[in-house]
Amino acid sequence: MTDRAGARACVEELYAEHHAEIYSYLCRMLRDDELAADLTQETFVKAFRAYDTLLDPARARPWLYQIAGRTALDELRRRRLVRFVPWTGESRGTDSSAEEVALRGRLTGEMERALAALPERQRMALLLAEVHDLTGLELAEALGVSHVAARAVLTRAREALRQALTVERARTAVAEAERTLRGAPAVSRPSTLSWRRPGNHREERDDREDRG
Amino acid sequence: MRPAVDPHLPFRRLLAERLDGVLTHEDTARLRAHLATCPRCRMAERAYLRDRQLLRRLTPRPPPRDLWVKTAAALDREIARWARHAGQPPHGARTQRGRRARRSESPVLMLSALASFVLGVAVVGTQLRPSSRMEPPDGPAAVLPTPFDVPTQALAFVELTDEGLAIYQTTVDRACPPVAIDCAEASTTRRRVVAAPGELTAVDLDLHEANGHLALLTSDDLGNDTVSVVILPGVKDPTPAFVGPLPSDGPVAPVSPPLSPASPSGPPDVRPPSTPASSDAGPGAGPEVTPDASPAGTAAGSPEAPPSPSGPASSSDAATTAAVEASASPGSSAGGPDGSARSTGAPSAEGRSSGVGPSLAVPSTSPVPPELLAVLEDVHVVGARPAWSPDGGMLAFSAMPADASAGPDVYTWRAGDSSARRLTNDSLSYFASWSGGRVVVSRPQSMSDDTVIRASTFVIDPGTRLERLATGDGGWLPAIDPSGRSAITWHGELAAVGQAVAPVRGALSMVDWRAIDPFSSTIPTDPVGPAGQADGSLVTAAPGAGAGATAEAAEKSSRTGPRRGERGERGERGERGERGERGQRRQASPAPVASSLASEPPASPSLLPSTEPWPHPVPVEPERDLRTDPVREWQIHWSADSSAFGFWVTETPGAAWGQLAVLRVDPSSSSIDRESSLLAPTLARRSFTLGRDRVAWVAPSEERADGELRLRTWGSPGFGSLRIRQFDVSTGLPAF
Repeated sequence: MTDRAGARACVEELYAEHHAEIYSYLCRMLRDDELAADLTQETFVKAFRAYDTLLDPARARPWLYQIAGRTALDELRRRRLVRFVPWTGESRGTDSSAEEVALRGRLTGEMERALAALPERQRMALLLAEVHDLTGLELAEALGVSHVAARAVLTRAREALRQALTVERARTAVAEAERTLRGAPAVSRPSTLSWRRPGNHREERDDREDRG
Repeated sequence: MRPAVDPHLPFRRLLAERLDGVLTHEDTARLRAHLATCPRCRMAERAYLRDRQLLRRLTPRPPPRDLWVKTAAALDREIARWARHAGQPPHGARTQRGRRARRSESPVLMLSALASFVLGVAVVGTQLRPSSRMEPPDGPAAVLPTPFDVPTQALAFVELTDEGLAIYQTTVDRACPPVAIDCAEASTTRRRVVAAPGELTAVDLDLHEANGHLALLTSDDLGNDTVSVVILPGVKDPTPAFVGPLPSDGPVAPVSPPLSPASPSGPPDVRPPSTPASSDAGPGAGPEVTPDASPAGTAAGSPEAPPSPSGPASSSDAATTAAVEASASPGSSAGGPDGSARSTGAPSAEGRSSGVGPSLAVPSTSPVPPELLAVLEDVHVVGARPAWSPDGGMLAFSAMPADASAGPDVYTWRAGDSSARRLTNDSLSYFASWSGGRVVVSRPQSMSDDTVIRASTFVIDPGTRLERLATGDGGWLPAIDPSGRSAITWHGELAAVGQAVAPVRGALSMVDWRAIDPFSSTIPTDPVGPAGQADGSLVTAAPGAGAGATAEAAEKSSRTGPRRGERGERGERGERGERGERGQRRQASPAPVASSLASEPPASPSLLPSTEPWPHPVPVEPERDLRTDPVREWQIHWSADSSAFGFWVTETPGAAWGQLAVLRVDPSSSSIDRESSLLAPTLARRSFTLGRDRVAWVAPSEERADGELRLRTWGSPGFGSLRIRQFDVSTGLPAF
């Protein structure tokens, strides 16, 4: 009984520390906020059940991601979620103004859609590596594969994302063009070139960092 | 023909790998050479960097506020499941000795759950609430520990003290997020004291909020029960301050003398209660209300003053027709105190001296404070707890003589009655619940042999005493929801314990009460029940015929009882006697002289639950294993709108702690909504209370061995929690 009580306590600790990132990860994996909440809950229940398998508490984070990832994959397979579902990537209940939402949606919408177009394991790898900052062995553990395999998945994922983003930008451009032709108020956005902004921004930041 | 391989792919791979680590010297040189000549791969490199940047700009998504609640509930369920399946000793190891050792203790399950619970609380307290200063936890998804408003509902807390019966009212209008339960305190508490004899222990209560009728089940040091009522004006409105004496008081009637042990076998009371004149004309008509019949041994219950003949008559005239509010008029209450011999202490005397009743609206002067009126004393209350009818006008309960000389009967009391009246006379009736204005009674179909005792359900109209057998299997002690749609009941094995029966092994399930209620259909059912039971003659019996049949049944049971006792094993009987101390008799319990037999059914191979069909029973706890964790005692409360029910269960008769859960019922399909339980199974003491959108119970506490009062709310703001510390839960009971 002490073991279970201890496991419960530890899982609660893990929850307090990691539930937000796990939830965020699952949101992007599943593209469904409510389902993500359910699976977050399930992830921690599974963590409680399987707590004995966590040999090194220091590695709890990739372990949790692995559980969450498997849970998500199972669910995706079960539900056969259709990709390309319009999903702005914005959570409900955000307190931002409509303009902010629109702006952020424009910047991240293409990325979210491109991510959604990736095969699940590639999406997992990219999210874990770039959004959740898992590296090397952690990434491999979270993906449940070897170090080498994890890097291979990530490599393929980067190329796939690049291509998917290209497709998404082309779609946006076509949509903008159609809207303009129909006489709708033009949106002041050079859609096909929009990617340059974050790129330039990055370089400025990099410069600053270099100087600092 | 094989597709052409993109010659750039190996370099894209190297580009990607370079983002995530260091390439070998050789790969770096190859890549550099290629990039110098390939603008497409240079573009790809820029794209990778840009995409990474975009990815990193994805904002974290804030989790919903109720995520922790759901997760904690899921963890609790997991723990409960684990405790049931893994945390219990093997079934074979459950010896009688083992049970005996746990008699006064919480069972192993409870201890394990307690340990995990306490640890869980500690961890939540330290992790999610890093300091007692209620700082928000780190992270973007922190739930701020600020209280939020919930609909106002008063929580009463009733405690027997040396001064009398203390009734507290706490206005609960806000709650905390469950992870920060201490972010708020309960609002102001008002206290009033009702004259009551000391040295009693409050066991259970039922408060009818709308008209302030409070029924209290108390137990004395000998383990004898008393059912008392008190009428509290103003309970439904928690806002007025209760300062000093109260504006008006409930009807005060003389206390009934103790129930004579011989009375159950005496002449049955067949007078229709709908004719108040006749019942008032003879306050001593029934043997149970004849003062002379009181045995000397029950001196504690002897009145200090003889009942005034005019007192009960006047109050009864005013109130017998269930005009409860009218009975609270100054005139009737002024006439009462003379007869209220049971009450002691200054408040009563003060009331008498005040004389003339004031205007009802003025709270300053009061002729008589409300006081505790014992309606039945020196009995063992069995079956479901005493409960008010939906309109609050009538109280029903079942009790058997304290000396276990006869089985239980159902009693009712309404405002103006001097004492509880017997509704049944068969010594085999257990009060289950109310079905609208009718009393639902469970009866064992037989007491005579060692086969499984089957249960029948009867519905009795207390006004006409018309009684009908249920048209389906209502299980044992069905608790019908206020809408009359469904009921939570118990199915399983019953065993005879002296003159009473006790649940041995079974579980709770939900049944469709509409299919069972004999009054819901237009045509009365066949007098002989579906199982061909012998006591079918009781169905739709006129009072006279019913009395004859029940007398026969009582006689039969009185004959069979001792015989069963003789057959019991000696050693087992002794052990049973020790175990049958306080608390054990709460639920269809044995009397002190009760013998054997309930402990272990004689290895009966009967199936569980009984093979008799019933309309779609839905297990309340599908995971429960009847073999290892049979439910043997339980409490069920429905919410007033029938949308939820709370159930408290234990496998150990007399256990102080059990498992409490609150489940939602889908109103459209009358099915249990297990996905969104309102309170996941949690360790709790027996007495809990369910309000409109909240439940209050006594939970284990790190600080106090007796536990602490907890509150959980649900509704649009999500789940809320509150810890109410100002009450002594060791001596008091909560009620909404």
